Amino acid sequence: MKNKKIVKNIIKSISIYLLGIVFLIPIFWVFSLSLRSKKDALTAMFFTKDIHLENYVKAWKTFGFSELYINSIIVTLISVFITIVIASLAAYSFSRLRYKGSNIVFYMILLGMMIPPAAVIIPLFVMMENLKLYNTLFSLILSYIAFGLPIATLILRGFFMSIPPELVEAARIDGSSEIGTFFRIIIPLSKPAISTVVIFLFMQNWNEFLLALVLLRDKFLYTLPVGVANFVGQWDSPWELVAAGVIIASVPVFLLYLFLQDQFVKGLTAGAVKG
Amino acid sequence: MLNKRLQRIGFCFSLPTILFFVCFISIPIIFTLFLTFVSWQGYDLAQIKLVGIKNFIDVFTDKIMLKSFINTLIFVIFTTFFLNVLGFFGAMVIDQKIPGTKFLKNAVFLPVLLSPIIIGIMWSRMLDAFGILNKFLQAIHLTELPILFLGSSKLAIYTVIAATIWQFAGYDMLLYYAGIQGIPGELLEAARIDGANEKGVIFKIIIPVLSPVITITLLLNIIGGFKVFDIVYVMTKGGPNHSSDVLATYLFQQAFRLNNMGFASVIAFCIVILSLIAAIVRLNITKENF
Repeated sequence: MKNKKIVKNIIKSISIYLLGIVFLIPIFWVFSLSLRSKKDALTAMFFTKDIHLENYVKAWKTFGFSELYINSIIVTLISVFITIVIASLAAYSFSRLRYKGSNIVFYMILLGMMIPPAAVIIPLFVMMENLKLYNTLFSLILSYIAFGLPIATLILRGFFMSIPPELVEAARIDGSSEIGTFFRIIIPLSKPAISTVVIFLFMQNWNEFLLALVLLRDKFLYTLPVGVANFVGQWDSPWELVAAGVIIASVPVFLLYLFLQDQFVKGLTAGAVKG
Repeated sequence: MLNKRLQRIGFCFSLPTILFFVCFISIPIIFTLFLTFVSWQGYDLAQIKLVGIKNFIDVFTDKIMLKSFINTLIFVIFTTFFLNVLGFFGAMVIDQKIPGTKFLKNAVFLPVLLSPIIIGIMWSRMLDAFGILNKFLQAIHLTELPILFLGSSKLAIYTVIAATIWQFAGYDMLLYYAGIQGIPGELLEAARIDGANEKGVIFKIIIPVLSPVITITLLLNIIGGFKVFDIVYVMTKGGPNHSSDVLATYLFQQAFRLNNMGFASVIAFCIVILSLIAAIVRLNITKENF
């Protein structure tokens, strides 16, 4: 009876590993493609003996990854940082500094959470053009802040509500200013919630495509997704370089995930939080 | 209620968020509504011409619009169905205490981390006439000529759907996994002692207990499906001959390739309405105490 169970579990375990490997075939295949010669790229099925690591150097140059990475890092870091600051102030006000009408304001902002960029892309484009912000990274940063605020406010407000109100009241009685209480008590207690929001916003802004595609015209301003899509859009672009580019664009996020697994899982599934 | 001074400070704290929201979301939505009534190329604001409800008539009698809407529905239905089924059973598999489950969990979650652009590029190459799938199918003699997964007007949208399911199965799986872990072990054990078989345990206990998780996951998938753009744009650009266009790709094409801002705004307005419905449903489901 016991032996039977062990055998059953071994078979199960092997099938689970196999399932995982089969699932990852697309990634293995792209990796194999990225190492091939121009000739093998279209003919071979999987790995070849002829390994061409220099594809990566070529891909880095032809895609212009240095610029793509710099632009993506600038846009993502600045927008995530400002979103967190503004959203946590608002979340504090919606939880512990409620004013007449603040619930209605909060509810309106939550409705905005579901508005996708596509719904307002035309007016945003027109606005940015008329403000002379079209074709600048600044226009992207502003838009990313606006689209990140609702969910960030929702998650942070939920967390601030769980902080005992007595802490805030005691600080008030001790004569601490509201902004002082916010920075000295609320923020230090909220590190887990803030890191969740940071990862959620980081992934959203790092991968965002439509706004970047519409609001940027010059190649040297492109962020990673637009830059990669643009290069691949030219149909004569060589497969082995496209594959190397795909790997170059993916590896940093994989590495981050490796070090921050739990935070990533929490951050990415934060979209499913209850109000 | 707090005193007047604290209320004022509270208002100031929320002011930057309100301003961003008004400038970049509320005003644009109103502007979109205004643009649905005009004919405009999109450059010179002085050239805006009011045309009444002409754009609405044009859009709702447009065959490609109908096709895009149906494709969006097909996309939403297929991705939502398969993501939930695969996510649920994936979660049941990784919930067991045997070696390999951690590997499977990470493997399936990996594509969730990537941008749909990257996934689209990978899958376009993989399913190309020279890609690995056609080579494999030819090697085992299932087909002699390569199948044009993206070049066929019948298959294109389903190919994009398949790539999307591959990308996000891990997301649904983790949501269900978190839900399953929240079920008390005694509940399942008691049922098994009472002689319930696995099927009974799944349908009579796990699924009913998970119903809040199921609702939110379904809703997130539906909302995500209605706004799909990236992966369609990068895999097919809506083609061949509009056969895989969805609302967002058709909107993009009308607005930024053909410069029909009025026509495109009607499509955008449809997206606004769909999103607001989704938002209200979602807020009612996850209702909270203000």
